[in-house]
Amino acid sequence: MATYIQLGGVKIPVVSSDPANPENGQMWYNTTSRQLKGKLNSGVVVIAFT
Amino acid sequence: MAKYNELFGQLVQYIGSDPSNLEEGNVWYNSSSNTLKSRAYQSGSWSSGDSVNTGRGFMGGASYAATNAALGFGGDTGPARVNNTEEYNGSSWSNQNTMSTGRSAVGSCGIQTSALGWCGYSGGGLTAAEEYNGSSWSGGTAYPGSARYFDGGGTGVSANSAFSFGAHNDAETYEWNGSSWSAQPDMPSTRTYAVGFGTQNSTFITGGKNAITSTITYNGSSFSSAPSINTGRARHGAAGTSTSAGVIWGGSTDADSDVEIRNTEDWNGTAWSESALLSVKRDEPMNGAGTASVAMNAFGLIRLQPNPTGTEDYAGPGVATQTVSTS
Repeated sequence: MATYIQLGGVKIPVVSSDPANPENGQMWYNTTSRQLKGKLNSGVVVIAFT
Repeated sequence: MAKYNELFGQLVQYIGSDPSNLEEGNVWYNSSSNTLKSRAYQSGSWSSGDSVNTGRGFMGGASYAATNAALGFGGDTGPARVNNTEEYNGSSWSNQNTMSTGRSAVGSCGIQTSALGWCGYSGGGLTAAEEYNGSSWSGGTAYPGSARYFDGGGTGVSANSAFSFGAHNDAETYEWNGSSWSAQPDMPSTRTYAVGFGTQNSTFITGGKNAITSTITYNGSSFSSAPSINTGRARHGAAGTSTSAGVIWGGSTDADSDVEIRNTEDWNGTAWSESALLSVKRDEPMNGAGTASVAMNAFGLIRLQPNPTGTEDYAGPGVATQTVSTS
């Protein structure tokens, strides 16, 4: 089994607070709220899981 | 034509199977399942479990058992105190040899192959104890105090190591070491139907009748105050193998009439936090099996449905591989 990032790609930023001015399409993982988030259209959204 | 990442940024990892060295916050695309995945925090949740054969309340359970090797015994079906014993093997519940005395509100602890039940109610209070070895029950040494009733008032890893607390209207505690009972310090106050988790020398005691919110820990010789739970309750369920982590659920917030609740609270060694609700209000569940991370709530009374056979299983909060939802 390949390890994470061993085969290419980039890590999503893991940050303790949301970035100040994210751009549409930007994603990050907030370690304080422990949520995967992204900027979608005009707002920051929490990305849901099934 | 320019590639996407040349124009707009960079790609997350594109891989045929989930990577092996994941950390919280990692995101990747699984090309086999065509799903975007992340290693992310997941809240606690309840799911339907397997049905028991005889629904009942106020029953005993092996408090230190794993969820795939649980044990429940005794209890109250409404018209009668019963001696039924059931084992769970991870997929189904099966009837086993019965206790010699049908009883409800029995103190209890242990694992599926080495469990102890003491005291309880059978039309009158009891002091007798019984030991289960995985196939049959045998008489044990009677509880040395007065006849007592419990609901979740017992911890211990086997039939040879028990801690008794939470008796109806009494603060007394006792330890059982496999050959004799010994009186231990009284709890700082009476906690009727308090419920705990852990072992004889590392027990976390929560709540009690009249919606007590305070908690205490026991280290084998003395008690210490611990952070309060959010919702005071008694006759609830609990699971955990030491004072450092546990979970409580359900129970009643009132004194004697039934005010059942669905609330679940997680203990992480530092603080209590609210978790997922049970699917239904459950009162008088058996001693929960499992750990803070994976627990089982079997046999809880449900209001207006006194003897349900359905159970619920708990998956505690933690970091897990999850799939991003699409809609």
